[in-house]
Amino acid sequence: MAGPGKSPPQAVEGVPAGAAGPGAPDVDEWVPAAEFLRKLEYLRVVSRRLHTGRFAALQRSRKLGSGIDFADHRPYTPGDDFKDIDWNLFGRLDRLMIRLAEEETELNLYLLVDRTASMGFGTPSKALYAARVASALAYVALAHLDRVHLFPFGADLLPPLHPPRHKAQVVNVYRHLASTGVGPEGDLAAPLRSFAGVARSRGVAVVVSDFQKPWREGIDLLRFRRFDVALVHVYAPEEDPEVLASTMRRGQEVLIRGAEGGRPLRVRLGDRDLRRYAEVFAAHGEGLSSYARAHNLFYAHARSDHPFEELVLETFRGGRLLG
Amino acid sequence: MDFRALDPSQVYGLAAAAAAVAVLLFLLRPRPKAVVVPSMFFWDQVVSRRRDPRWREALALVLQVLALAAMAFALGDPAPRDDPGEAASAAGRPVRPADRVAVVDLSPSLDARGADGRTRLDAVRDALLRDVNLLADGERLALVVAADRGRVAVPLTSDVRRLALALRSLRPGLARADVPGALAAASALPGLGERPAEVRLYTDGDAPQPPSLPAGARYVLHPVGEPLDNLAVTALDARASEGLPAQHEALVRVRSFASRPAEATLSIETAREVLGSQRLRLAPGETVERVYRFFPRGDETLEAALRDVAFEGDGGGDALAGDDRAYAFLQPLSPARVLLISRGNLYLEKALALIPGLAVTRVPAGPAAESELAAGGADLAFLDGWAPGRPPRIPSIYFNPPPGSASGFAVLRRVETPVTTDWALDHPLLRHLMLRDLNIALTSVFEPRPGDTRLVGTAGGPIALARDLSGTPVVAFGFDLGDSDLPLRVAFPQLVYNAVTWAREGRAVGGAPGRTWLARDLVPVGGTGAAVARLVPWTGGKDEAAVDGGADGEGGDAEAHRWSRPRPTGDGVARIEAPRLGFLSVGAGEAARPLAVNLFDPEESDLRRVPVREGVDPAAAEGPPLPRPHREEPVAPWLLLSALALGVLLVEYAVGAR
Repeated sequence: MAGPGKSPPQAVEGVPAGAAGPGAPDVDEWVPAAEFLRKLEYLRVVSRRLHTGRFAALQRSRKLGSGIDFADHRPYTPGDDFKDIDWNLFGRLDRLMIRLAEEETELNLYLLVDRTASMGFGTPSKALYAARVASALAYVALAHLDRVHLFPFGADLLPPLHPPRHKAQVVNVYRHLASTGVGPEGDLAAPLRSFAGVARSRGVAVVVSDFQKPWREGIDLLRFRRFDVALVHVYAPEEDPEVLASTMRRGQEVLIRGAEGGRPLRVRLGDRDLRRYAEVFAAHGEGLSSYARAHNLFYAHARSDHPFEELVLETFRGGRLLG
Repeated sequence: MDFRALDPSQVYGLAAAAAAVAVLLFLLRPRPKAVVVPSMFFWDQVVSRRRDPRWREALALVLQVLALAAMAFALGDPAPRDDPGEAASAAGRPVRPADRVAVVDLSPSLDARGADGRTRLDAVRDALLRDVNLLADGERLALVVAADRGRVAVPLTSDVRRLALALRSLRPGLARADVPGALAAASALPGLGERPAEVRLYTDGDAPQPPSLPAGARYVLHPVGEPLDNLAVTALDARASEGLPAQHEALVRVRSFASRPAEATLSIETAREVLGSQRLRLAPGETVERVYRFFPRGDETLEAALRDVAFEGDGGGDALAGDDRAYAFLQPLSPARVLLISRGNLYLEKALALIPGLAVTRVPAGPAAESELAAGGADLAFLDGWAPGRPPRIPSIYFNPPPGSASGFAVLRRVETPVTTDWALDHPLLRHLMLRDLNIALTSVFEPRPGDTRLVGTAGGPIALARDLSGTPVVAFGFDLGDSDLPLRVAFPQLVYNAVTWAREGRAVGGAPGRTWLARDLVPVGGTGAAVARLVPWTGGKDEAAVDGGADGEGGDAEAHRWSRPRPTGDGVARIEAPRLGFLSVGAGEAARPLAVNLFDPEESDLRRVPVREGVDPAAAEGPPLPRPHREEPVAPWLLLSALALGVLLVEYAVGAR
């Protein structure tokens, strides 16, 4: 939704400018470079599982059919297309055999983007960073005719977006995120359970969140539903223990108030508290990473002031989320 | 609860004000800085077990208020309220008298300071202030002071403020306290005896005879103080020294009134300079005398001071400061002058030149010599072979007076080479001399008169005589110095020196500018007692001291007239007490009389005596105990409160989120 009085930014190759809704990442702030978009077009979303899509596309699938890559033979049965008969084999064996190939179908990319209040924190905000990540992934998928499903969530699922398969739809993805307000805080289980109820096809489920909430149950549910799960952990620079230690004055009494509400804490911060924070922060990231390793999931974490292009082109490729 | 230092309203007001300030500061305390974080996910784990500091702040506020209140109460110096009648009854003692008369000894020894720095009078004042503060309804208190005379400071009254003011204005005096007079004044107080009464004497001296009190009144002696060590200057005097050149000679006497060996620095000073100082060591009770001689430099006053007094053991200081200094006037010294009337005598001239500080005037025999002798400006005249027309009026020594002259020494005969037989070696003129082998070629033999002193004799009669001519000493030697070997002997200069000092005896000094006075003696100011006189600091003759005429001291500024009301004595001379030690002046202008006022009173300086309860009324033994000074209480309430405040502050520090 374009905000009143906003002037449209300069469009860059299929990514027209847009505007953000209140409390949401400003779409004006993200105008990816054409060079970056060209690089994205060389990539594709890689799934660690084979999924069956409904429409032909460029992804390998379990379906054996009209693809290029040989998969198997089977005896001819009446009604089979003659062009699938392996005549070379008939010459050697004198039997009519049908050549089977892996059918290339579309891939379902589910982008589950955290839109809770805590994501609005940081400079730049985690929500903005998450929106850029989601948009970039959507662009890659759409460029390869894959199916993109955008599911913003707060305490529960927010209105989803199922854009048509065209890379220009990435703008709508970003606008949709921008227009989605910040939702109430909650754990990941409820929205992901709702997601599992509505997602009819399996595919790659990318969860972009700060995970500052109970997350294990929700991710377990996705795994149980055989989604290829990828975790993108975003945190703000202000949450970095080193940055926090450099900005907090020791011995100062502070009132810690959560952006998402809750009971504020009044404490006098000392070195011990800051050390404890660093331990908790590191344990949180390590918990996510260990979980991902244990279950063969993709995991990446990024600070919201980290160069976005680097995350997509290097980290995502290195982790085989993109190939 | 009663308070001794402040009124209860002041204590409660102070506590309320302090609490209000604490609450105000609590309300105005800086608020914590708000820090917004994305979620409490991490922070709940970081500070999960930490309690909200607001309860600590509230508790700290309560503790602060409690500590401030405790300090305010401690400042008030609380004393538990006790019902005197009930307490006395419970102890089986008589009920506390409704009228009490405090007789306070104001002798100089009440100014003695103990190890805690407080004087004996401070202890008495504190005890009486406490008594005043505990004055119950219907009770009355009177204050009688024993200074140079006993007088009623405050009659029987319930006016606590007046009593407190009078107590706070008490100062130790310099005169010996007239304790019997004060007891008599107390006995004669109007209204005494109408109700059960008590007369208490606070003194550090010996107990006087119990006074005759009205029926219903009892007498109680409250000894004051404890034995203290003290050093004192007990004497200081100055005079002209014997001999020449002329010098001042000062005698200082220092006495130890201590039970331990002591050390002190004795310093002799004039108004302009320190003449010298000396470290003294004194055994217990020892008296040390020192004599100092010094040349005159135009000073009129002399002071002796004891400084840095230290006693063996804990090294505690001197108890009484008033007797550590003494004051005296210096007599002006006149120069020695000698008149030499001769036709030329090198022996005499050279011998006189050997004497330092001597002014010699040579005059040839004749009319000029007559006029010089008549002027009488010299201490001594040597008349060599010549005699004036009439007897000289200054001490004179003749050598070979012409027979038949007006010298008054009649010559019996002239004798050649006489043999001397006797010498008056005890005469001042011949002290330290030996003239046994004196050779004389020719001499006159005098005819002695009654009263003459035969200085040198021969078998034929005296050849040297000393005579007193109407108070003027005159000596005659019958021989010429050139006819004897006397000038060649070592005894000759000594003879000349003896002659000069003998002649100056009693003439070496002028009158002192002032006299030394003992503080315990009242200074006579003349008159009949109707005038108001005062002693003022002596300023070396430039003072504006005055004897004020006018009122007799009744009314007006009591403090100003306190020392200035003359006290008629039996000899008809009005006298007043010196207001302080040091150099003072009474009278004005030409009539001004300077005084050097000193304590010099062993009775006041000796603080070793333990007061005894001799002569106490038997009822006194049943009386209430002496209100002890605060420091003697086992644990003073203010101390407990201060400790409580400190403890609460420590807890507050631990509780407060600091």
